[in-house]
Amino acid sequence: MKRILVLLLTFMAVHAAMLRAQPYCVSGRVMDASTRTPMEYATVVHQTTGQGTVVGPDGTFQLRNLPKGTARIEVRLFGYVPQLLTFALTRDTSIVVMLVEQDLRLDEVTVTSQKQNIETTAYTVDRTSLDHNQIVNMSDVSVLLPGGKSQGDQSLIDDRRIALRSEGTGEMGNAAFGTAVEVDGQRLSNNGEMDETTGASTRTVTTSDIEEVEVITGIPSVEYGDLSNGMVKVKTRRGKTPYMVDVTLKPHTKLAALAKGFSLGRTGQGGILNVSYEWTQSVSSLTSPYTTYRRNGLSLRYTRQFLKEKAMPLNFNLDVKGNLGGYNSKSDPDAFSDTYTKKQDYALRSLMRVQWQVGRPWLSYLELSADVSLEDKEQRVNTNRSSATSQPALHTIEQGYHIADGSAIVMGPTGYWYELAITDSKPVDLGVHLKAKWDHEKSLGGDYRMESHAKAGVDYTASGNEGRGLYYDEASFAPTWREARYDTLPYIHNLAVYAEEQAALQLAHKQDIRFSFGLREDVTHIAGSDYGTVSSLSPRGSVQYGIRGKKKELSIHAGIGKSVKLPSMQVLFPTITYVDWQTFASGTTASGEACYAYYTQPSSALYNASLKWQYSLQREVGVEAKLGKTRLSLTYFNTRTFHPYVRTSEFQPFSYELTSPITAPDFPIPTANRNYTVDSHSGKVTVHDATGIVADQELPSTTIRRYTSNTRWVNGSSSTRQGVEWIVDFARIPALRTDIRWDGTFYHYRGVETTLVASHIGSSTNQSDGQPYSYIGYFEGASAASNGSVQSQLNTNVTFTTHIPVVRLIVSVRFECSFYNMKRALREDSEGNLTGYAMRDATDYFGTTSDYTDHYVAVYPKYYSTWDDPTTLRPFYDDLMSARDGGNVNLYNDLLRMVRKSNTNYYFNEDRISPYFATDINVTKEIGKYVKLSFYATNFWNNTSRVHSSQTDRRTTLYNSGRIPAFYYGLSLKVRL
Amino acid sequence: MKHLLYTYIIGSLLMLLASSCIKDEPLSYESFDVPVQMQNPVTGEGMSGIQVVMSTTLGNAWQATTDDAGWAHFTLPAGIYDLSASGLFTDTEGQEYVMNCSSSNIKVNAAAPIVGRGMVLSMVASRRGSLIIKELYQGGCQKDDGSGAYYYDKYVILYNNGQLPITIHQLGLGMAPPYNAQASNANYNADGQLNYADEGFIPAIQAIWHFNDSLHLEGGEEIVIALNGAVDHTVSYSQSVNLGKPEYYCTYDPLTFTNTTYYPVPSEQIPTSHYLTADLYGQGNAWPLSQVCPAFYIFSVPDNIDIDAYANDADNIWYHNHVVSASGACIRIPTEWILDGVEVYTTTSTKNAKRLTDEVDAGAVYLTNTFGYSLHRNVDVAATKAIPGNEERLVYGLNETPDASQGVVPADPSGIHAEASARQGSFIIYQDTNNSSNDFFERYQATLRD
Repeated sequence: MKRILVLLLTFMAVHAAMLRAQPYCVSGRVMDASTRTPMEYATVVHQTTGQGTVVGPDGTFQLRNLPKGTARIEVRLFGYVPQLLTFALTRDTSIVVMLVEQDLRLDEVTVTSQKQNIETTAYTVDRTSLDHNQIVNMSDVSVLLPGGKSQGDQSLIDDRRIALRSEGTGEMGNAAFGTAVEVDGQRLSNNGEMDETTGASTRTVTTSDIEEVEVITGIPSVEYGDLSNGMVKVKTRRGKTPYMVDVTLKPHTKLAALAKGFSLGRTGQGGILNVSYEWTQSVSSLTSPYTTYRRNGLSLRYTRQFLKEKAMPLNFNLDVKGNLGGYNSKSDPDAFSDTYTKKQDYALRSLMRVQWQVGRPWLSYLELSADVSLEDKEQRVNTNRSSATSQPALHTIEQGYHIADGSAIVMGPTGYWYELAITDSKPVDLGVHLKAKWDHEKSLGGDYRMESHAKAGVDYTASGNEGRGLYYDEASFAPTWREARYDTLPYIHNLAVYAEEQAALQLAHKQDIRFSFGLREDVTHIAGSDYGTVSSLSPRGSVQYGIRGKKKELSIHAGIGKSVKLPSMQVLFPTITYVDWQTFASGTTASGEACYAYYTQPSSALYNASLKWQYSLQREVGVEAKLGKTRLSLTYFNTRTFHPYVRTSEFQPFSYELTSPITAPDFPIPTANRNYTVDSHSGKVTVHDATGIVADQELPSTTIRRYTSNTRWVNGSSSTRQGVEWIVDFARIPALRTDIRWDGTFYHYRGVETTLVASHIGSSTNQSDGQPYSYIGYFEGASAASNGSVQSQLNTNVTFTTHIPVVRLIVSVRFECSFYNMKRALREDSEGNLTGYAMRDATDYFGTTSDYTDHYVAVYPKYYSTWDDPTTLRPFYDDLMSARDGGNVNLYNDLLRMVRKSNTNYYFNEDRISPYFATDINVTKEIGKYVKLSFYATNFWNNTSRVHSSQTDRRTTLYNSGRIPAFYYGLSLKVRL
Repeated sequence: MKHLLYTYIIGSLLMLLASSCIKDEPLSYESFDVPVQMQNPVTGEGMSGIQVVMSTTLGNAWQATTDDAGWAHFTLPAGIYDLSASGLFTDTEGQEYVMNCSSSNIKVNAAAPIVGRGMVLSMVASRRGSLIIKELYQGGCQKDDGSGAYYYDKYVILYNNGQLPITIHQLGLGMAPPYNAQASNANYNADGQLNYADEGFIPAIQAIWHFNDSLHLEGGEEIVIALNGAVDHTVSYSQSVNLGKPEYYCTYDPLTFTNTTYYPVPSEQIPTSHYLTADLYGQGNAWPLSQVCPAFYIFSVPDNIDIDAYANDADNIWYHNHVVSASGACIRIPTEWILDGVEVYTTTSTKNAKRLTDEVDAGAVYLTNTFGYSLHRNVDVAATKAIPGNEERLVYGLNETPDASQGVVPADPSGIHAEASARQGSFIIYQDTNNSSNDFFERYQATLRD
């Protein structure tokens, strides 16, 4: 931490010393291009510094204290095409901006994602594209990225998460967990969730009020931390707007929304308040539309500028967003009476931001923001239960022997009852952020000029959970369960400091170089964690070289960045788990009553002093070109994940006493008078005579040898994701008024885990002598046939967009093509040598370390250990051979049980799927000025043809395969009043 | 508009004309002659007096008896048939054998090669054993609160079907894969035969249970084995059975199977010596005998082979569906060890497929589960009546039970109420042709509820 503070102070001092530039003023008027009337409430923002203002009733505005250099002024007003003016600011400047109404009468309308021309890979999806594609779950914007696949049914029943530059299934690491999502600058964090380790849910984010989505798949700024797989930034609509009604109908989903931007005060001086409400409902089944997920999102976004006429104006934002809704199956008439699952998905998020436009040489801009997110994700599951016998419910939390006594072990009821399980989860996320910017321009002589835009900031975030965890409304009906309250766990505190320099060097002949370099230090603290306070340093940098002409442009960019994903709560503050062994059970009485005793072993993850923090090293190189009206962008990316967190088990031998039920007819204590106790240390069961007549009877027992296990988090092997993304926007075909886009990705993943992991084949398995299995196997990577995989995909989309302004119609047809889809399981060591044995028959155990194709593959543990000598790792193969050749049949058979085999003889075959296609159509039509209709159909030819799998040499149907979207459709109506 | 109308009328007339010129396809109710010959597996000669049944998946059946040359003659509508044949054969030394034969997916249509020319099938001989499965109850019953079915009350009754006492050593219980008859089954060869049919074994999936001591049964004596909870289930489920009686046996091995829902500790009245032991080579915390349609069998391991060692021997492992997985792991149980078996089909599917080979069970019995019905042996009327003094003690009227009168559950075709007859002192001999189609009926309730 000290090192970064020193670095930050040095950075600020150096930068302040550099700044000598004179601030300038940009003023002007914003007018309607057709009526020439002033455009009150338009927002004017200087993009580099973030300074902004709202246009007054006479259409005038003024931005003060802007730095010398290239000024990028963006002017926005709802219903009008945003204008971006770029010019050299070398003196006080006055401009006039003409805004044009945004509708389908315009020539330039886009319904696809747009690549940003900056020094990293990022895409923008605007409102028109969202409407055209009828996005109802924000995570579905990935459909619009290069090579993206349509979703078909975008129902909210499925809680989909975004995972950028990943194909998800079967890959090592956790791409979804590493993909960050922000809404208006507020992070949707999942750190406070106790029952999952994945990306944040986006179901509670209303989509009808989204203005724009920015997806950064490349190297993000160091301003953004706690991520490793990119960033999704959602920006909602702000500014004065008319009433807007949005209705969307799909077979499984209905959406209705109302929104308006109000100006407050007589002349709008009181600020602008945007209010939106959205109701969305999805049903799980059309034939039984009773199980639903509902979203009721209300959003209030207040924006005001203070000290507007002063030298240093202040922008103030206050957002309050809430959601009521969730999953509910209670009204399903097909379910048994009063059985249901209800999952609340309540959220209250608030963000307050103050931006101070200082505009001084020593500081250009200062932003302070604070946010809070409170969620209530209570889940209630009511189940009807019944039993003929009293079943043991274990609530023991102490190590040792326990007998059913009504507290540690409770004997459940017989007959019929309801069990209401409540999982109370209330994630809380807090954040305070301070960011400062310095802007600076310097002429280097001739046409050479340098602009510098530096920023530095401090972020503090805290995540925790105020929920109670799992509990039951009736303790006597609770099954085996231990209370683990979330609200007693400490919060994760994270303090981050970052500094970044973004500079642009203007060269002669319309050439420029832009680069950015930043450092970010994250410090994480969890009270009571064995790991103490942990920290990590993430350096990131990127550079872009461009030649920009009127008709031709070429730019090349490259970047490298390290993103550290600190261990989750699960690692740093492990919860206790319990293993229970039944040691005694009295015989069941005629009324179904019985008494059980168990040995309980609590365990939690062991501290690993040598655990390193998982990080990703992202590298990318890209090129963008403009040739006439054809645009091309091409990016190669390579992301390597180092030291991923891998959960391993460590086994310790232990034994317990097993006592058989009493069934001897001559037992001295009659059944009705028996009371049982167990010695918590020795496990001996004693029968007491309730009448006191017969002396206590200690029951005989036998010793059973088992293992207890503990988790230890270790660092696993590295994995690599790499690929190419491209977009080609061809010049429009004027006669057809049609644009053609060709986009796609080639994606390749390879990961092999070679960490030595211990494995026991299961407590139910006995060895040849009838005793519980007593050997531990040590496998490379996993006690399974494969320890890794390789996969490649080539997905491309060709989109034809026909836009006819005169009838206000836009039609796009997209061909989704998967030309190459290959996956193969691997079993090899860290040097790539095959370590499995290829066999002809499933029942074989021996083979050759040759090509696995069309063979069953056996995998031996590298070592094994015994119950008597758990620390000595014996060579498995040598001992197996000795047992076989020496006639030790029992050991031979017992060791063979540890051998893992591939399920089939084609398991390791390369699985290449023959090419397949789907076609989507989207239509948007404006009816007059106020009404817009959109219709879409995915896979509208309902392609159900068959594809060939090289793994099995079989052809299977695409129908319901998940490879292409299902035939699906939707209709939406938008009205502006 | 007129043009459209005229075009429509002319088009319709042309379509009518064209359709009248199309030659009629053979109608589906056209019938075909299909002769079938049953051959002696040793001599290759036709066997007379064999009952042959051709049945469709819809349950329609045609029956014929072979003539002196071994031919049974059928006239069948086009369709796909399963064949089942059984009969008795006594060799020159007086040894009686049960002869069985089955074949699936027999196509009958105008192009089928068997039409007119017929097909020849070789029968399989197997010996009749004394220990038989008298009743299998595994389909569950309705819960009292109306919330569905209760399944944890399965049991089987084994019966000494001879008049002499028997002692069975290392008696085991097994089930053939897949767990359900209608489940995906890749254990069939391209020619429609089970790939282990000629290998001399039946796979036992996941685990086997076995007695720890030899089992001795007098003639006509039976034992009840609780396959899940050996407790009185009627405490909570009035339609269920009491499996907590002291004479009952039970599958209870808490070291191997820890699921207390399947295996609550047995009734305190059942001695621990009546607990069976499990040998697990697959995976799971319970032995999941299908509640719908299992293939269940009993076997006895020869004295010179230890049953535990056999189950643990890696060389005996075999994988269901050719898929190597703990969930599909089986061991080979030699057919000659198998004493009896019952192949159960579900009435809710037309995709039932055989799992037991003809030597064990050449047929199948259908079960409608969840309503408390059980599968029960038919009485061998001739053999039972042949025992002196038996006939007058036989009780009839089982096929007059309320459920049977509603046509829901077929009863013993003879109408003999075996349990009531036994209570009257009758010695019952059950039918044992190693063919469940002939040997079992679906009983209106478990006999333990009588």
